[in-house]
Amino acid sequence: MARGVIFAVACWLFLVGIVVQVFLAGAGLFKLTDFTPHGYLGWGLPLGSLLLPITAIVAQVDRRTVSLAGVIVVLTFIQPELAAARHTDPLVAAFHPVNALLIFWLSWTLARRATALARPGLRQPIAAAD
Amino acid sequence: MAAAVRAIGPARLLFVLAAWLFVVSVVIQTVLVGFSIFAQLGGSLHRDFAYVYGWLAPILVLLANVARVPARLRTITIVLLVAFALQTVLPSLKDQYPFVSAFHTVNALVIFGLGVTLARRATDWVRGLATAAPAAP
Repeated sequence: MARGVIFAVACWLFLVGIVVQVFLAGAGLFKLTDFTPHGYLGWGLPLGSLLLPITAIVAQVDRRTVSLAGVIVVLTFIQPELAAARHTDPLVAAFHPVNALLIFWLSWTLARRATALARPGLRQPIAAAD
Repeated sequence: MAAAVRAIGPARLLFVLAAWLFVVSVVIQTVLVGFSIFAQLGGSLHRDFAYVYGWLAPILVLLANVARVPARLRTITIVLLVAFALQTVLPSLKDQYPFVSAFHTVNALVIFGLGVTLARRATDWVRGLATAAPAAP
């Protein structure tokens, strides 16, 4: 039970991190700041994403949820690489914002699944959280 | 099959179609902003495309009423319309209120999330109607 709560908290914290990161991108685009804060958090989030599958495995959730956490890790590690490709391959780098949408949506889905799993007695109707 | 389609009705099918078209448009819009930032294609494509598919937001509100969709879906269409209207205003505030303007990107996540939620729930609702429809003789 406590492990499930830790997994859910990790998922929601990661989602908050994604939203903050997207705000920092907006702050850079609209000249509130430069892109330095966005860049720093962009290298920190992939490390933070590693907690998702680790806490999922520790919480002994189903394989599908662990896989979803794994996909988020891969996409989050790809994300700064996409931005870094702007000098060599700008058309590939252009998918940086689309990948952000994907990471956001999958993280939202994972956070809702983790919350449903953490609630006692709600392990069966997990599909309702999709 | 024909009985199921009749039971759903054209307005409801159009509603589902428009909801998914909106989601696809948001993804294309995000690709366009990527092109303008990273491939220096200019921001006008991104801005102009918003005014092309932006019509879908009020059309969804209209279709939700015509198709008599459940109240929850109707509420999502209204919230989506408000979020979309806000999205078109936010960039224009960049000189006076850059902090507010910076929420343009966060609001994009909200619009995408609402769009996907609407499209998926509308699809599930219509599927339920099709399943409940009596089989053709």
